[in-house]
Amino acid sequence: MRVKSALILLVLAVLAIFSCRKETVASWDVDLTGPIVSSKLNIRHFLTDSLFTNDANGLLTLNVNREVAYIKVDSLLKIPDTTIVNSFFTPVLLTLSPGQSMNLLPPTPLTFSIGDGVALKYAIIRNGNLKIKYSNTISEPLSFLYILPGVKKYGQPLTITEIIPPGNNSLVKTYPLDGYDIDLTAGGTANFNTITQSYTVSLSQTANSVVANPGTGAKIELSYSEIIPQYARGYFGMQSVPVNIDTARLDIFKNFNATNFMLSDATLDFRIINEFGAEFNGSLSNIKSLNTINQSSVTLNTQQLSAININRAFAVNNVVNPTIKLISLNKNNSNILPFISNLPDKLTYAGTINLNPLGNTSGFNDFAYYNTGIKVLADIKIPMKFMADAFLLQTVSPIDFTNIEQLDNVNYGDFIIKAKNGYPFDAVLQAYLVNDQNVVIDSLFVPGNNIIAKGITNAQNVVISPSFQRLYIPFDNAKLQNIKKSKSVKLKARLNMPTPQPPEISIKDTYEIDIDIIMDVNYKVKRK
Amino acid sequence: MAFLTVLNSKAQYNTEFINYSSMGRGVALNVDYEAGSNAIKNDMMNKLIWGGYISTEMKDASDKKLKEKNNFGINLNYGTTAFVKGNSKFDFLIGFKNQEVLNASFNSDFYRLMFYGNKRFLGDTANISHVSVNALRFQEVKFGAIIHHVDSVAKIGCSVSFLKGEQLFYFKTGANASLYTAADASSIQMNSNFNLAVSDTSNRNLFSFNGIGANADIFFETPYKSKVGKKSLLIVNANNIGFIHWQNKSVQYSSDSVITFKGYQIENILDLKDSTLNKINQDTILQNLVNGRKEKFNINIPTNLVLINKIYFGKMNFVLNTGFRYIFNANYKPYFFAEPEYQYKKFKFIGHFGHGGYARFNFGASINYIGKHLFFKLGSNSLQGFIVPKLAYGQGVFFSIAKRFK
Repeated sequence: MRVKSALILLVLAVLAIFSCRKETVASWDVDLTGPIVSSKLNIRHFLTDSLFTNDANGLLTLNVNREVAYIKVDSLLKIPDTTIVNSFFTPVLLTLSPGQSMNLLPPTPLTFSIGDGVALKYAIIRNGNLKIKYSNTISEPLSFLYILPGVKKYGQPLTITEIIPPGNNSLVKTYPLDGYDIDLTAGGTANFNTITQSYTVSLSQTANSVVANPGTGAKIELSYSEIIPQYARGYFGMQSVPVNIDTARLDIFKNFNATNFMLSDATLDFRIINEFGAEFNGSLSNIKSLNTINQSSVTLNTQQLSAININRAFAVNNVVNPTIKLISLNKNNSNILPFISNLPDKLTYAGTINLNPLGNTSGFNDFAYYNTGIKVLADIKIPMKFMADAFLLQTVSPIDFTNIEQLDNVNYGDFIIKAKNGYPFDAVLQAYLVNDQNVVIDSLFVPGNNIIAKGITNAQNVVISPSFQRLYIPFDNAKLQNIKKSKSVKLKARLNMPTPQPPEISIKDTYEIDIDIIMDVNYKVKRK
Repeated sequence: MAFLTVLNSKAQYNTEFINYSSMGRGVALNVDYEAGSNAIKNDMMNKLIWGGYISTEMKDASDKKLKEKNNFGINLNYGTTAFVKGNSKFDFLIGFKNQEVLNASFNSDFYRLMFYGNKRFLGDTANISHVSVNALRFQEVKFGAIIHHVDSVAKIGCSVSFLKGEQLFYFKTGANASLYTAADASSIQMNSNFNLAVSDTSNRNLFSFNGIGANADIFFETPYKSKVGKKSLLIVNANNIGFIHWQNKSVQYSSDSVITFKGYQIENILDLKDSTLNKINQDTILQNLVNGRKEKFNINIPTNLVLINKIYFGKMNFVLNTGFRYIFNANYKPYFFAEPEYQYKKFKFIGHFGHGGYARFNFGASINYIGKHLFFKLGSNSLQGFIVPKLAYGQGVFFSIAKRFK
């Protein structure tokens, strides 16, 4: 009994003691300082999707390749929807026994009306349908056999066999034509756009013998629709295709702007790539560089794009070898310098393309593959040598500090930006904190203490020695909470050219700003 | 003031057997708390232990008293014990106890680094060698027996305990450990001569089973002949002789190299995506800087040794205790103490004077009530921390209440 009492008391005591346990938190403030990040700020970081090279003197060149236009010519080869109706009616009273044919007229070839002088000899169907509506005015089912000898898949002609029950539109079926080869010569080399077809209509083998009155029999309505060739060969005719005014995004300079900016040199090569087995000529006009930020535009003035002759592509073993027409614009044959110096984010263009301007020179051997056409690429080369008062670089970087709990324990402090500037211009920095509503909620740099002075330059404005600065970004807990709330930081750098303005500034590949971020904080340590 | 007693009643030594002489059979609830430092003043220590904000004033007061080598320690034990009747020669012991241990040995640079930060070491090297910090929390279930009539006068007790490890933090630096902060704070150079072991940090509560272990307690009490006094007794008690095996979610870090940190290298300062920021995470930094690995390991728990010599005077109601205590693996300095005791009827009054341990000088007092059915004890061996917390080092309190059985 005593042992039992002891154990009960023991258990109660254990519960009482351990239930009182409580965690405590001691805290104190410490001054912590040290490096966080060592990085670089470089002009390359602001220009997206770009590739820089440098010449023998270390001058940076921006090389940008953009697809300006891709004019697909599938529409030239589209086989129009075509419907034909064939009737198999007996003109006289006829007693039909099971299996007895009632074909009374010879089959006729089917010619597609493609137009524009297009004369196709052969095609491979990528997509397309044959829809047939069957009607039977005899009281017993009829058997229907439809063969397209020139339409083949895996070497077998397209063959359709159906039993047509009595009634008007008593059977409606759709047959996919995907992947079929079509011989459009209908068996004769001089023919084009035409296929042969054969029909057999007979009383079904399972039907009863029946007397067919005059004017009764079968009616077949065939509809070829939505036929898109994967490949087509023939003569594509002499067609003129207008290239309506269109806009292409460049997105080279979207983070870059400048005042009184003028490049020293630039080239723009248009590469016109013809993937079509037909000749073209044409012209591009109304080419403008649009700077939608400054609302400025510059029209390209050049004679190079007014008469462009493009040879046909050729194919070997179904592999297309396109022809490439290169048109180079430089400061001698165009106004390319002001055109590029406008820092366009968009290009507009228009033009005309003429197919087979010299007629059927290929002897019905024009060819085209699906989804090919005439591609216009712009290769822009910009040596980074220019004049300007200043230029602005801007970038938006997504950030997410929500999981860094240590920020909650920071009372106040400074982020110290230790910068080594190797550029020949001053950089004025500001960083804006942007929340999830895309609203700027705070900024980091203190005006007046946000300038990284330019490197030391020689008479040619070449940096011979970098400059060193320390910028202080003061913050308190409230600002840190804004940093935690932010979803992105928008960094703006205004790069001020030296005054008096030198004739030209060259950006060398060795130029950059080394940035070390040092924290100097009063931090609340918590002992849990 | 004279303290006279005829009964043994030792306290604050984290041992059940010493209580047995006073309490006899019964169920007791015990709380032992002691904390001390030879550098950190009591008001600051209170904040460290019980929570709250440690002001610069508190830090400065302790800073002025720093020596080349300083220590700090806390022992908090609470639990319940039952001595139940075995036969005429021995009784059984069963108990549950929670033990929390925190102790440290540190130099002045380490203190300043911890409590002021590294800014005051700009352009200078903080010497953080030979620093040791141990923090341990575990629970135990104890089974044992005490033979109370060995040769009719002596007592021998022993017990074994099954331990459940809850939390561990172990940090020890070697002779070369140092931290240099560049004058412009652009780099930090660490001579990382240290070992660090931490139990599973994701599993920290009373029911966490992060380690398993065992320990043993040994107790011996015998009278001996002496020319001084009416009677003399020698008590030897050693407890917490054991270890805890920390399971494989525990992490060990070790490093012995010179690491210079100049900030995380990011190729593009504008590239502040998540993966970049995640690098700047304290766990990742630690993982990258040192050799971190998850593995099982054993840690010895602090072993407590107490020697007491009791001399009885007068009508056996006055006793002078002198003793020695040492805690192994605990940054503890040898502790010498004297305790006069006086018993008046069912009450016993005890004084305490000591030097060493975690604090410098200690003085304390306690009162015991030994009734027929009730045993009660309340006291402190370090009263100075309660009386002048801004000046003194060390504090402690112990409390027991027991239902006595025949």
